[in-house]
Amino acid sequence: MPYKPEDVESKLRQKFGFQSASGHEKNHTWLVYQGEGWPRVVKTKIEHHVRAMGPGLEGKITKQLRVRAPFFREMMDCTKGADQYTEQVARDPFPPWEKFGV
Amino acid sequence: MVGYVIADRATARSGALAVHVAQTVPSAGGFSWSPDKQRAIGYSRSDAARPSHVGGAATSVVGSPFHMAIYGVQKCGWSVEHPIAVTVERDEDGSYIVSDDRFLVYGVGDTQSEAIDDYLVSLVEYFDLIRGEVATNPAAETEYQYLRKVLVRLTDSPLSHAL
Repeated sequence: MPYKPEDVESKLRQKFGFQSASGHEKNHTWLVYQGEGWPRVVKTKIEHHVRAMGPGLEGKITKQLRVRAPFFREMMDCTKGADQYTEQVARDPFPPWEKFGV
Repeated sequence: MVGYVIADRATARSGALAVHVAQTVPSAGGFSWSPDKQRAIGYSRSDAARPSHVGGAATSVVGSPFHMAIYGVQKCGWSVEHPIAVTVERDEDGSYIVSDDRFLVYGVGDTQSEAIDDYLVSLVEYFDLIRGEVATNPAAETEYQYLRKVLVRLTDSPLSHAL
């Protein structure tokens, strides 16, 4: 069953402590979260004009959250909580944090 | 779209590039060879009269996810000064998704062109988020400096004459 973007956004805000980054386009929202022990802030974009997220879009959000697909579904289905998410990304971010050579 | 696509010679063989460019960038006006004849440079209709000096690498499998690069002056008011490799794919509902594996930014749209435009808007917003993150997190500095080289606001860009 595909998730609705508004449900994903609501869960990320209320259950996982994500906050919106203001000043962006009306058809989407950027949510940000800095977990304890993480080197960087996680940023994810939620589209508003999509009725239900297909596997492609779900995969992009999953990546932005630095978790694998099964973990993301557990987050959305309420079998993983904020502490488990924070611990998961601290221990095994997927994909790993990018190293930017300048 | 004012943007560019380059394909390597293998991809561009037998005129396939013209088809690819037309499918990748609906407003594409044509292509020419780079001076070393190893790359084909596509350019948009709005820019068709001017020889292109910027572009992006592209390979394509029609009907499957394919990779291309976004490079050059963009209508969102920014110039992509170093090619950004992106993947173009279709979701189950038929919408297009353009995404990269470096910044993890994506754009969606009913057409490839819309998805590319949405990607670019999102990338600029992402750049803005990184700029804000740098103030409190030094670990974001290298990404910020990298993005500063990649994304240039057109008024600051040496390519701004191309508008």
